[in-house]
Amino acid sequence: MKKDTKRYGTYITLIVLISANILLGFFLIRMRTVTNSGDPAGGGRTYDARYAFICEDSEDDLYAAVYDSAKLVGEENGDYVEFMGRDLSVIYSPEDLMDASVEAGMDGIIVESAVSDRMNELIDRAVDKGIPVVALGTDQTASKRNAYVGCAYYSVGQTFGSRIVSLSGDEVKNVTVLMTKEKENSNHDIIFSGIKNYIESAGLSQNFSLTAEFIDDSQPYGAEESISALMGRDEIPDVIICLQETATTCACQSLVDMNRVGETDIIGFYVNDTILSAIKDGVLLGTVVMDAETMGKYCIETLDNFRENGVVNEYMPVNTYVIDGNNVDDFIEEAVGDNDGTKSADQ
Amino acid sequence: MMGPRALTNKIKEHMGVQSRLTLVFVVTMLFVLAVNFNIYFFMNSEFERGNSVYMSNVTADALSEDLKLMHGSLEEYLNTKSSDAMGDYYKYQQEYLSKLDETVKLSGAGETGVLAENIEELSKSYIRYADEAVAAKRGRIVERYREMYVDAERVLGYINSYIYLLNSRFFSANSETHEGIRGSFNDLEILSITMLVMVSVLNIVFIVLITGNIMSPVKEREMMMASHLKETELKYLQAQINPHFLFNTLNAGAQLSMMEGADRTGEYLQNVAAFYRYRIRKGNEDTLLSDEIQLVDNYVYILNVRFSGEISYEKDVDDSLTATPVPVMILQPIVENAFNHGIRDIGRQGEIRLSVSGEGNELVVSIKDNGRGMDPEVIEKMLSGNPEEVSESSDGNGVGLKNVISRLELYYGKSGLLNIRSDGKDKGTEVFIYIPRPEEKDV
Repeated sequence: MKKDTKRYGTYITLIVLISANILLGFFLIRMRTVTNSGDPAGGGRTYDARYAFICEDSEDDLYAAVYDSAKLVGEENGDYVEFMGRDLSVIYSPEDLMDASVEAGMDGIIVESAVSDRMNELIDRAVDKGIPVVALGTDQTASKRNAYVGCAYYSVGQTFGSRIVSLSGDEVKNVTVLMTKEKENSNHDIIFSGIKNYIESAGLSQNFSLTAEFIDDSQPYGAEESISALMGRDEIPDVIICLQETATTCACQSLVDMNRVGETDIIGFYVNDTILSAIKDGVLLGTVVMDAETMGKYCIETLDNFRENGVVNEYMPVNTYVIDGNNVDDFIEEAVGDNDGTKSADQ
Repeated sequence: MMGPRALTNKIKEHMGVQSRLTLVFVVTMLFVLAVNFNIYFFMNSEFERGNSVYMSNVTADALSEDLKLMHGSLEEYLNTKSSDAMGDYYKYQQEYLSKLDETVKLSGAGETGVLAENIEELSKSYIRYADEAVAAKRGRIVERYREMYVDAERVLGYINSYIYLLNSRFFSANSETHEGIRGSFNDLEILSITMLVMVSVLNIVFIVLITGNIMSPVKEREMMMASHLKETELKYLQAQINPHFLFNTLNAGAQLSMMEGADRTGEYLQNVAAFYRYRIRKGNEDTLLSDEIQLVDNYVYILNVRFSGEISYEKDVDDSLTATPVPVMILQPIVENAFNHGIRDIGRQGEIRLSVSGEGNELVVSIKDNGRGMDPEVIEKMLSGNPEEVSESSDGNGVGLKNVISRLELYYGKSGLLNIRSDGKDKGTEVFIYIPRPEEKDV
């Protein structure tokens, strides 16, 4: 009996030893699998199409939100959307990025850029090579672009106009529209016309003195400097209309820094956390927002449609809406939940 | 057919202890070796992987370098129209394309795949412009080759930017892989230590079990028995006695005495000779009780001659019991003790009484003296195996009581075979040896 026990002990030991070796082998194989799984390609999926996304200011929250939406929709549709130039070590102009996209044989290009002859030429070259081009935000009307995705700027002007009209009182109010030099004769002009016509049609032309002031954003930090200079004047306008997100943010900040909150009403454009806080604190009267998510979706749908059917809807307008003191809390809640602030609320 | 158990037994029969121990150590060492080899193999392959981690970066660098060389030779050709430069241009173009192919493969799918595709398409554009520039230069169409060169240079800038971006993407992915390998080395270190400790412990368990099987209790007892006998023999040698020489010498003396008519001297020498002959004749551990008694007779006779008849020696032996086998040298040391510690120099007639009787399944051998007696503590000490002072008397033969007790226990496989009784000071001592009858002996 005792001998048997010992023999079993020996056998058990042998089994344990062998099992230990097998376990070791398994563990090594597992480790090998884990370390081999580091795929340098990152993701590893293949795409049906490569789309280039070009925008003038890669830091602009509006277009960053449009890109995020486009990328998401693209992923769902099997398209890779590349934010051209954002990760490159060299800073390229939108025209150069357009050129690179054409030379790289992209399957489609989404471009947000100021209107220029060279851009028109490049867009034409792309279209001639069979690459569909969607103009985003600013319509490149003089080019062969396949479609435009953006808001109707005249109606944006009308929206601003309706807000200005609501501020009318007994005294004549000075209204200054901050326009950028680069966008002379384009969207900002159309918005300006929209504002002017709305005030006129409301019969309140004599109540408002509407002027345009150009801010220089051709240099780095130029916009901020121009707005600080404006806010530093003895007499500042009664109403300031900002047509850019950067300008809106700078105007709010300058007003607070110079302790002139309450001396002017600012209506801004687009939205970010600072802008939402400014509305909440009463620094900013309101802001006009474009639906970035829909813009991104339309861009991809347009390009996919072109690749599949060869035809597209040339004009794809997106809605705008106003955030003011009445509804700002909803957007702050959304921003907290989403940390995005670009979610639309169709009007 | 032979079953596994039968086979094992067969192997056991044919393998000596040394072979079996060697087998055990070889098996365990082989196991340790296997574990170490496994670890070594893994480490080696990880080292190799570590070496190739940044291969994609190396390829991207080489791609960039080839592009530079290709563009340099294009510029040189356009400047000098040398045929060498044109040859270089085409050579570097081939090298560049082959590197590009390699880079695309290394990039796989996903974002880096798209980047590589961009580079591939841009490269096609570049080569188209560059080839056209070369063709225009050969055709001396100045305006055209300048235009094409400018286009090529423009695209070159984009390619360089993209290669740089791809390289940094590779680097970041490779760094992750590198981190992974480092992590697996750390894991491996812990694993190795754990495994080696585990294997060592298991090996020890294995060795203990196997050697335990080899060294069975029976064998162990035999070995201890032999060891004690050796000790006994050694004690004789320590006494610097050469039993053969002494025995022969004593015999010669006995014969001489007889021839000269000195009968008592002759008898004495014969007894002494018989005493020493006993050790020589009894080479193994077994003897008969009668032989042991005869040895005691010889010993007492010698003592009586030496000490002028001090000892009154009596025997009460049942002769029918003395044919029982017993371990050698178990009675004489006790008698020696009885004389040295009991009756020597007591100033009265010393008595030693040896009796053998049968009690149930045992024979009881009693050696009783009328000497100094013993305290119960001393008896206790002696029986528990700590008789420091018991055996080493100056003229004793050196085989102590402890040795007798040990050999009795080993021989019969049980304890309590020796007992000592004394009624106190000067009341003598009686030592009992209980010998199991042959059918009782459990060996």
